[in-house]
Amino acid sequence: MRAALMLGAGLTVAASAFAAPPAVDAGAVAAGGNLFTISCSSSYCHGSGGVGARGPSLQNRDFPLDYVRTTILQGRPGTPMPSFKGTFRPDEIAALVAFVQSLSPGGAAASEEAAPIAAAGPLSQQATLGSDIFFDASRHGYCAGCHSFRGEGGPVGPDLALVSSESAADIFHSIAASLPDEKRFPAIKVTLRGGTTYTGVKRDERPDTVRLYDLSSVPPVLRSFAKVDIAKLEPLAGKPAYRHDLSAYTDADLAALVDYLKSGAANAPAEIKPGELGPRR
Amino acid sequence: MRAGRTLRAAAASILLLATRPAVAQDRAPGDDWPNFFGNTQAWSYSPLDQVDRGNVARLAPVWAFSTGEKGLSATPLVVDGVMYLAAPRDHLFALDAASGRLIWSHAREIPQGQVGASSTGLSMAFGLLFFGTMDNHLIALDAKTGREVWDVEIEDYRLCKCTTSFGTILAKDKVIVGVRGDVAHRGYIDAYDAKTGKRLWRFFTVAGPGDPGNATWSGDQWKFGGGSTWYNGSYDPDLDLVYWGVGNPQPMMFAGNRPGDNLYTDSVVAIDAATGKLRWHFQETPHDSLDYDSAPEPVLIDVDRGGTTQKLLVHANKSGFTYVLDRATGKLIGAWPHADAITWTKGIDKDGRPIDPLQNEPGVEKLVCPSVYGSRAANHSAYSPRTGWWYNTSFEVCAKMRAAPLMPFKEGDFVVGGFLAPERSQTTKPFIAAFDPVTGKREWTHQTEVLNASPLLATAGNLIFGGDPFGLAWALDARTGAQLWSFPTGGGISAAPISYAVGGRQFIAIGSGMSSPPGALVPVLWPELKDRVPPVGSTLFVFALPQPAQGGKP
Repeated sequence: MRAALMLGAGLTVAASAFAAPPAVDAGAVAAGGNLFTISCSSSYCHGSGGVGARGPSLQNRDFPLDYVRTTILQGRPGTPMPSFKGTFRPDEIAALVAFVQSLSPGGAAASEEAAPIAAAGPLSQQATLGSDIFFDASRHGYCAGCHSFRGEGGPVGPDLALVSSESAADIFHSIAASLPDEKRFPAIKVTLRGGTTYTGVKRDERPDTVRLYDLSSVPPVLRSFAKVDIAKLEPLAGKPAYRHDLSAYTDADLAALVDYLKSGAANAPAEIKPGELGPRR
Repeated sequence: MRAGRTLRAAAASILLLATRPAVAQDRAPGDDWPNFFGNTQAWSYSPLDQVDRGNVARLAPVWAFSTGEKGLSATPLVVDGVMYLAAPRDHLFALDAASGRLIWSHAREIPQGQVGASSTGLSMAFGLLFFGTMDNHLIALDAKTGREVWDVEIEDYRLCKCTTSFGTILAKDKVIVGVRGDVAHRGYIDAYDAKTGKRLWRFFTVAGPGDPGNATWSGDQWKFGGGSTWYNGSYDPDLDLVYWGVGNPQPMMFAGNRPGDNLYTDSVVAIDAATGKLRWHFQETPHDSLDYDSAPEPVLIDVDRGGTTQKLLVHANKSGFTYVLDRATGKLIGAWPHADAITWTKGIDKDGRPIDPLQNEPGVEKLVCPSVYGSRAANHSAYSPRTGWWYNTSFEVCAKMRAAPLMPFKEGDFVVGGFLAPERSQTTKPFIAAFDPVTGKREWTHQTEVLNASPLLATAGNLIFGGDPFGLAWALDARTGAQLWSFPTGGGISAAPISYAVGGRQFIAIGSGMSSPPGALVPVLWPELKDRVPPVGSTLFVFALPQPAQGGKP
C-alpha cells in the first residue's frame, strides 16, 4: 500500500516511433497556461508551470493526449486528482490539455499505453500492523530509520528483503540478538587527533574523508571526518554497532513485525503467533 | 530499488580557496547578518545607517552572483565578511561578501520523488552552517570549507511527503527546524544538538492523546492533522522560549471530518527550548477550512506601556489579521486587520476568536478574501526600533472556493479537499504599510502596482527595502512610504533583502528570480501587465554607495 503513493509517479510511457509531433496552438497553450495557474498550480498541487509540488510534476512526462484529457475530465480515482468535468467548458479543457502537452517539448503520441504500477503483494491484517510498527517514527527503535523494506526506509543497516525467506524464528533471533552484517555494514571506531572517539557503522571512505553512522542517538547521525583529522581507524569485529531495544514492543507487536518482514517471500506464510518466535534473550 | 537513495548524498564540496577574505578586525553591531531574520526576534532590521534617506538615491550595484539555478528566494547569512547563500536544489555557496568572489560551493545529489522547493535559509554556530535539505535531512557543514560534518534524516520524505521548514533557528546550542508539506501527516518542530547532530526533542504540532487540546480532534484524525511548520520561528533567550507559527489542518479545504478547534493548527506555540514542552499556545483560526495558516514569523518586541516594559509577540496570519500577544503567557493583547479585503469573518472577539467565520462547503462556491495564498505568505515583515513601526504587505487577492467530497486517505496522502480560483479583489488594491504594532494604527500606505512578493528589510537609515515581481529592487522612506530608489534586476523578486558591512562599508543584498507561489499569480491576475514579467533567473545583487575616487571628496 505504501508503494502506491501517488498514481502517476509510477507511470511510464514509451515514445512511439512513427507518431507525428502534435500541432501546437500557441493561443490555446497560453489560455491553458492561465487556467492551469489558477486551478492546477494553486493549492500547491502541480506547482508553478507544472514543476510539481504536492502533486506530481507534469513536465517532460510525454503523456498521451487522451490520457491528459481523460484525467482532467474524470480525475484519477484513488488519488487526490479530482474531476474537472463541469468546472471548465470544453474549450477550456482543450486549452488545458494543450498546455499540459506543451510541458513535454518532445511531444507525445496518441497510441502509447501506460504501464501498470508495479504491484506489491497485498498484506494480511497482521502484516499491515507490522508495517505500521516498522514505519512508526514515534517509536524509539524506529526500524525504518535504519532498514529499508519493500522499497522504503533508511540505508544504515541491511535491506530486509534479504530475510524474507528465512523462518520466522530465525528472523526474530536476528532481531533479538542484533546480529551484525559485518561484511557490508562493518562496525568501526574512529579516534580523532584531539582524542575524541566515535563508534558506528562505516558508511564509506573517500580520498579525503571517512563517513560513519553514529547510532548512539535516534535518528542515526551520519558523520564525516577529514582523514587529516583521524589519528586511528579500527574495526570492531564481532561487536554489533547497535543493540535493538525490544522493551517498547509487545510480543504481539514483534509477531506482527516478523509477519511483515516475511511478506516479501514468494510463499508468504500464514499468520505468525507470538509463541512461535522464540526467546527475547 | 529505491532503498538507500535518501542518504546517498554524494555530497560534493568544491573548495576553491580556503583562506578567508581580509576583513576589518573590529566588527561593529550590525556588520553581520548572522541569522535568517538578522536577529533572533525576527525583526528583519539592520542597525546600519550609512545608507540613509539622504543618500540612498546614489545606491549602486557593486557585485552580482548567478547561482546557475532557477529562482532565488534565499536569505543569505553574512558572518565575518563571508556570505553564505542557499540557492535552489540545495546548492550552497560561500562568497566574499565585499567582492562576490566565490570561496566554496556545495551540491547534494537531488533526490527523486515528491519533494518541495529548497529551503531558503541557513543558520550558523560553532563554525558550522546548518541547512535543511529537500530530502528532509538536517545537515551541518564546516563553514570554512563547505565539507559536510554531520547529516541526520528528520523523517523519510518518501513517507511523509515533507521537507524542512524554509529556515532554521538557533536556541543557544540547539538547532531548531520545522517541517513543510500539505499532506495527511502530523507536523512537528525538532531540536538537534548543534555540535553533534543528536536529536534532543520533537514537539508535535497536533495535540495527541495526553496533550492539552487532544479533545479538539475526533477519533484518530490527530494522526493526520497537518500542522506543518512552514516558514521559520523566533527565540527569546531570556525566557528560553522558541516561538513558531503552525500551519493549517488537513484536509486543507474540508473540515467536515474533523469537528472541533483542531489544536495546535493555525496557532502560535511557545516551546521551552530546554525540554521541548509546550509553554502556551494561542490559536488564531479554529477549525480552519480556508488555509489561514499561522505560519508567518512571530516578531518579538518590547514596548514601554505605562512605565513598564511589556514583552510582546506580534504575529500576522494569512487571514488578514495581526495578533498581539504577551509572549511570556500567550495572553491576547489585541488583534487588528493588516489587510483591506477581509470577507471571511465579521471580526475578532475579545478572546481572539473569529466572529461568525465562513466555512468552505462541498458544492457551494463562495468568494473568500483573503485567498488561500493569504493576505501575505512567506514574504516576511520588518520591525524598526528606530520608528517603532511594523512593516507588512497585503496581496489583496480573493478566491472563489468550494470544498470537495472527501476520499479515503492515509498517512502521506495529499488531501487538499477543495477547489479554488484566485482573483483580484474587486474593491481594494495591494499595498505595503507601516503600522503601530500594538494598536494597528496605519501610519502610511504604499500602494503597489501588483501584489508584492518580497519580504521586507528595515534599516536604521530609516529605509525599507524590497523588490517587485517585475524585477525592480526598491527602497521606501520608512517614515512616509515614499519610494526613494530603485534598480531593475531583470528578474522578479521574492527574496529577503539583507544588510551588512565589511570594512566600514554598508551593503544591501537581494536575490532576483521569482520563486514564490503568490508571485507566480501576477501574470495571471494582472494579464494586462504580463508582458512586463521577466523570465525566472537566479542572481544575487549587492548594492552600496559609490566609494570616493582617489583624492576626491567622499
